[in-house]
Amino acid sequence: MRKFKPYGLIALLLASIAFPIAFPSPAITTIAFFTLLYAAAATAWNIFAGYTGYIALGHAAYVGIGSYAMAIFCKDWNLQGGYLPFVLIPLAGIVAALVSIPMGWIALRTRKHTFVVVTIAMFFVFQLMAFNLRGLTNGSVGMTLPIPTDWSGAFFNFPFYYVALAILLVALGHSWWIRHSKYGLGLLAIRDDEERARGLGVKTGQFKLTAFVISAFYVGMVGALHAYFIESLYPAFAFDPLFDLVIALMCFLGGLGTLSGPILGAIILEPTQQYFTMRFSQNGYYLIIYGAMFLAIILFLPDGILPTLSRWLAKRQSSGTVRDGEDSDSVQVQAPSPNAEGVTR
Amino acid sequence: MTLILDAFITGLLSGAIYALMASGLTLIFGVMDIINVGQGALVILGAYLSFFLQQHFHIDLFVGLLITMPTMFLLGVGLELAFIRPIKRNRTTLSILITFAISLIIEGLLSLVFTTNLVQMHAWYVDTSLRIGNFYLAWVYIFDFALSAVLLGALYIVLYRTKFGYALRASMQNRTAAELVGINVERISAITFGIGVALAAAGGMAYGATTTFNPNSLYDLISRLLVIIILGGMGSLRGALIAALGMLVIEDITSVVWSPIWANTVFFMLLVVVLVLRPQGLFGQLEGRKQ
Amino acid sequence: MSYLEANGVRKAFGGVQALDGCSISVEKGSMTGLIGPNGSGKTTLFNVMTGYETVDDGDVRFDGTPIQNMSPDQVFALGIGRTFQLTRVFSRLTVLENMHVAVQRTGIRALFGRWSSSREQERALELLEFVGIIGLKDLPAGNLSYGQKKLLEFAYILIAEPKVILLDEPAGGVNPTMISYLSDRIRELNKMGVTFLIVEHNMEFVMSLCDRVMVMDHGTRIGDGSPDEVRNNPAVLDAYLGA
Repeated sequence: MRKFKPYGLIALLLASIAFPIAFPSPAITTIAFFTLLYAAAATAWNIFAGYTGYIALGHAAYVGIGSYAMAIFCKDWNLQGGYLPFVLIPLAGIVAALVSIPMGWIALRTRKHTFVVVTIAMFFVFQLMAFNLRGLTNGSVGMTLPIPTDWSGAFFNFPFYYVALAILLVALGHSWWIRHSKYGLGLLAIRDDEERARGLGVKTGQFKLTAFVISAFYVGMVGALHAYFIESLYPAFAFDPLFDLVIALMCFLGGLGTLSGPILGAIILEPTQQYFTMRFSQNGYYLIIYGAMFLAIILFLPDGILPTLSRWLAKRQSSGTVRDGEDSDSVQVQAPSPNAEGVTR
Repeated sequence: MTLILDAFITGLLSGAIYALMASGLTLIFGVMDIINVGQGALVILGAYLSFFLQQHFHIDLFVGLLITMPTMFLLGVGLELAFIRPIKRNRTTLSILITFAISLIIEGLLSLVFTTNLVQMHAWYVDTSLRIGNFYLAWVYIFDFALSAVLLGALYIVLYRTKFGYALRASMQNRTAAELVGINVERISAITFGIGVALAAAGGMAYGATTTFNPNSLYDLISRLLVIIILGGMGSLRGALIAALGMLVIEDITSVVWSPIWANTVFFMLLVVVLVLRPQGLFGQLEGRKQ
Repeated sequence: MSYLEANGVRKAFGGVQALDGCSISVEKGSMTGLIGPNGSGKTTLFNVMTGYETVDDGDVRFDGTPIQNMSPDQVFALGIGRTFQLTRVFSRLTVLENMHVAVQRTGIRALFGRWSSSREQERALELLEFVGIIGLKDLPAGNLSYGQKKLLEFAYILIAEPKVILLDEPAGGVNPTMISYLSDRIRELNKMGVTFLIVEHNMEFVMSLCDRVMVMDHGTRIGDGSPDEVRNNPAVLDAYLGA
């Protein structure tokens, strides 16, 4: 199994690069684009929520901030549609990240349960500000972004697809890097027993805030790219209360805290969501089905797909051998090594 | 000056309505450690139910509560048994997702049945006002205030003067210890959830009588309710009451003194300010250093 | 003045006076036991000494420096490690990963690689071998048995090279073979210079291991001396058997 991994990953990478060329239909590439966006957002959210165990449900705020940053930059600097605006995306991400620093600091001072609610409340603050700060955001009228007019209908999705893929790959790489670093170990320790971790010297406050800001950065970029794709922006749309629930669900479905879980969740849920939107464009049905799906996933797969799968696989491999540590305290320990001097001062 | 007084009074009166809705929310958290993000949707559901009874059966809004409250109580118990009880791990997090899913379903159902057009309840006390000096106050506000006072008072009596309330408060303080002394915490949880939803029904009627609403209003509602309970300290009824009254008064006064646009933003800003100074809210508990 | 001491510590929780003018002292290099009936305040004293609780009055000194009201990580950084009655390990991390949490690297180096030095990796493995659970190093800590978790907790405290270790009921819930194994490990470490303060209910364990025993009751010290002296002290017997 291990041997296949790098080959498998490269194959996946090549497949995703080749995808739009193989399936150029705009309907399909649009769905693929959104899937990549959500996969990137879910991966970013996972860096914070999956690794630290703190569930933030207000990240849509940073999507919105990224979106508006993008729109405002394009407007103020008079940018035309085309490739140039793509360069602004990381900048929009930085804006979102900067805003997330004080917000995250405040929110993380509260208890884990209160934290969730505080992030939700903060989200609404930003949504309201988008409505109210008319000078900046044009209020409920909204803003428009430059339109790349010289891209043909068939071509249009391609650059967006690849930029989304790029963002996903960077976020994924970052997530992987964190997971394999001392920093990531600290985060996971915080998830399991924050107080104990702090007592052992882990700088829990800094660590949590850093993860929060990193995730806000990527999510801000997703917002910026999304806004540019749709070409228009208004407060209720940029600041979408459903967003956090959707990416949380994707992470839970795939496996919170795993590397590929969020992506798996996005691949399953996003096309489904798009399908439902097309089929049941009438709001009522869409919400009911969506909510019901949500409930089903949470009630029946509370751990997510990947962890459940890996547990199942592990059980099958070890069936027949006694699990270590399963029985009582009979000393299943080795005799102490005669040379124990190196152990302590 | 009279405008400010005016705003102060309307703030208090609206605050009472929010206190009613928020009390259910904070009670549920206190006993079950779960955050019912669907409270906003349930309030709107209550509002629509009252509206429906009034439109089709000409049952007065307040009288209709005799029907809607028990019904929603049962709904609450049912929801708890079906969707919350089965969750064993990560209860708080998963309950947020679950109650949000329930919220979506309710929103969807209401949109289908009642459409998304704004709705206004009518009754003699909604459409006529009491005149105090230069200032007019719709009767419904006063009745709503009375309703809140009665219901919150009843809640107080139940909590502090009955055996059930005693058991409930014990569960709030220490679930395990309560179980150990023979309190059926699971049953109390279900009933508490039911009470919370019943209060939402009442709050819904009160809210709907004073504002036009549609299914989408739940978002605005739940965001405010969440702010109120965090400010008051999650799990604290006293906190919810004071926070609700305080917040609405401040909002209404801001609306008059500064501008209506910024009024509801102030609501949230205040939350941020309080959290910087006091992360546990006014009456909440700070997480102590424990083993 | 002794190595680690508490002087007249008072701590109340609501109406309960958990520590009522408690003074104890631990000599450097010693193996000191702390016993007392349930509710005498032993764990509260530990909490106070390791920064998990603040004091209402009195002080705690380590090598002369006052350390009361410091935060747990500060106390840990000074060289005082502690274990808990209910073992606390990071259940979703592997045994080896648990070892590395206690050795934190700051700054840029934290971003690169889990173990910034092979020295740390070696040390972690040495310690796991010392406590005898090296074979379990890649298992999630949550899968370990109760006794094995105790050993792990012991090991990850050791990786920070503490000068003093406070053990909170190390023999609790553990079978006799494991208990004697534990005492052997503790004795070895003590020979190498680590000071121990051990809270225990298991009399045999304490009496056989410790050279000095202190007794607490109702939040204060009521007895102090060698195991034999304490065993025959009427006040101690009273505390345990009395009302």
